[in-house]
Amino acid sequence: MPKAVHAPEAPQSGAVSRRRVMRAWMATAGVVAGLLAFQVIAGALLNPYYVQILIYIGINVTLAVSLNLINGYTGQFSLGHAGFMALGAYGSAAITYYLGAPFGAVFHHLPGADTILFVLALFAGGLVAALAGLLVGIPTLRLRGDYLAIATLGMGEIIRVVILNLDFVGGARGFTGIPERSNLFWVYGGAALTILVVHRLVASTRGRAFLAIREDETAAEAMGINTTRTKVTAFLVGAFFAGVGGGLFAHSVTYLHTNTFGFLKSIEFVVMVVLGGMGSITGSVIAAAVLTVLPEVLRAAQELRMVIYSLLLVVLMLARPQGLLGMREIPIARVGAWLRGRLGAPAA
Amino acid sequence: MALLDIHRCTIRFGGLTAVKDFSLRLAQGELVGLIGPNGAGKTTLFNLISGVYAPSEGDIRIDGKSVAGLSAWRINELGIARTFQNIRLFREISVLDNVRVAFHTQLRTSFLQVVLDAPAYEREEAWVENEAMALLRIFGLDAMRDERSSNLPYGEQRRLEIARALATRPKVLLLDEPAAGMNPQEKIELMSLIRWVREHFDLSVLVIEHDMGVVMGICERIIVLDYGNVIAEGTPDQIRRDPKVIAAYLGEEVPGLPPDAPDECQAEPTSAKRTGGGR
Repeated sequence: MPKAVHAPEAPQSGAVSRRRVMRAWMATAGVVAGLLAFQVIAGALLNPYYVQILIYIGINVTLAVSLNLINGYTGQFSLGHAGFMALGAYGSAAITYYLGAPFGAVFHHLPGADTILFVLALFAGGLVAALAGLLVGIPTLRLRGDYLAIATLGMGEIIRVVILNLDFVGGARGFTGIPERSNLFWVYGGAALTILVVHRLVASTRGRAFLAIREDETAAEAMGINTTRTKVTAFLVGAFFAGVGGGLFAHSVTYLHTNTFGFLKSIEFVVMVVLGGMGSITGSVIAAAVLTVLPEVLRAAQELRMVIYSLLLVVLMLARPQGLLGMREIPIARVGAWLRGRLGAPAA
Repeated sequence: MALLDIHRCTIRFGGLTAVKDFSLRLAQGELVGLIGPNGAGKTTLFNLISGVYAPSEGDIRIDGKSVAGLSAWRINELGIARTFQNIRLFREISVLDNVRVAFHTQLRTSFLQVVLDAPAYEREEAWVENEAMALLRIFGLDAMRDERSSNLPYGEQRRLEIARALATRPKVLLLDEPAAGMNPQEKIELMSLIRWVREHFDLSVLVIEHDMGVVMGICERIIVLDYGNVIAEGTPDQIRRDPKVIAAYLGEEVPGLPPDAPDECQAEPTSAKRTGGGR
């Protein structure tokens, strides 16, 4: 019997498809407007310290959600996420640092040339990280469990040490003079894009293959899933958004040093994923926010700060070994519908 | 030409020859049983056919195309699907998703279309869900679509595994002890289900089963393995009477022959060890 060919269904009528496109544009416009309002209002009301914490939350959400695709959904225990973040950070920073002046000179008549270059740099940083993810993923993803964890750990360290020896990005002195371009708008825009992409991937039939591999690799392969390719895809997408998050980070702190991206940083992201729930996007978001805020709140405890922080982690893991949300999601759509009902607006 | 042609396959693990010089030609629409004591090499043979292992010697052809040494997902794409002796469902995801995943090789939209929520992707998702639900209905699992698959009772997990295998649109279906852990009523239903599925999906079926009632009831041809060697091959009637099979596997009393056969022989062959591998 031939492989099933799709029964061609009646194409959607023009009106329906136009309405879909309209809706997508309106949703995008709504998100952009919301982000802009967030940027303006938070900037006006909060002091810079709180804004900075909000920015770190957004960046950590990006990193945690992207890592969840690899560690949580696909079940490939990677300890190298900080390495991908570093590549995105240094890659994008090098672009804005070295190309900022010539780009500005050529496009001086263009309003927001700086911003355009920044967005291009973020994208390029993501691509550099994704390329590294591909190169690293192909050999290492044949390994399983502990072996993969060790291999990715080593890989993350290699990336760090290589950057440490690149003089044009500051080497051991660190990379200074990076223009400050990140703000709440871009950071939360990046986080929203990461969440959207990861969510759509894992919800799709094609993306269910990630979970199938986590559940049973042998069975997944017997059901026609090219497991190596699927794992590399998860690595690639995860690394891309880690790179974007790194770029946002670089253009927020404006100074980079390779020590920031050691394996402890990778562990931080792993903790966020595990604590939030392996395979829960909303869990990762909450865990990233909590674990970013917690050390700041605990500053009052002074030298006991990290002791309390670690103890809280231990208690949380004992109380909920599956993570805060396990594999569940907070049903955003239902919450949204409930809110709309409350506000009396017509539900879409 | 045989649909599945296994030609003189041998597989060794170090010094152990698990399957020796095995040949089988499975024609379109045939339903063949594979029996033998535990450790005889039946599941190893399934692993060979489905690409978990590559044969040390010999060749396997599907529709004339040699597949020895190909990876398991390629072999599935070429038309071989299987179930597992120790159920291997995707435990933490839903019943429906277990079947949806198996449509993987039939998907045509790319990840980019997925991310952009393209209309072609939406149509494909609707199509997959429809097809998956149709399969679940056949196996009486449609009401459990959103249940986590590990929460299903044992017999239903076995049925879900068959549904999932069928979702890959195989030409040959390999069933590894489909009746293990089922009660007599479920076994009877399973037998008619296997027959029906074969007709409906135009399949060839190769089934490993310790339950002689099931094997004798549905198979047109039976192959008996012992220590990796084929010791007999023939119709259920020939196998029942074969002295070598009786000595190695069936034991003296065979169900279905003398009407005064003791009851305990009805379900399991006496010398077959308990099917402990089922769980």
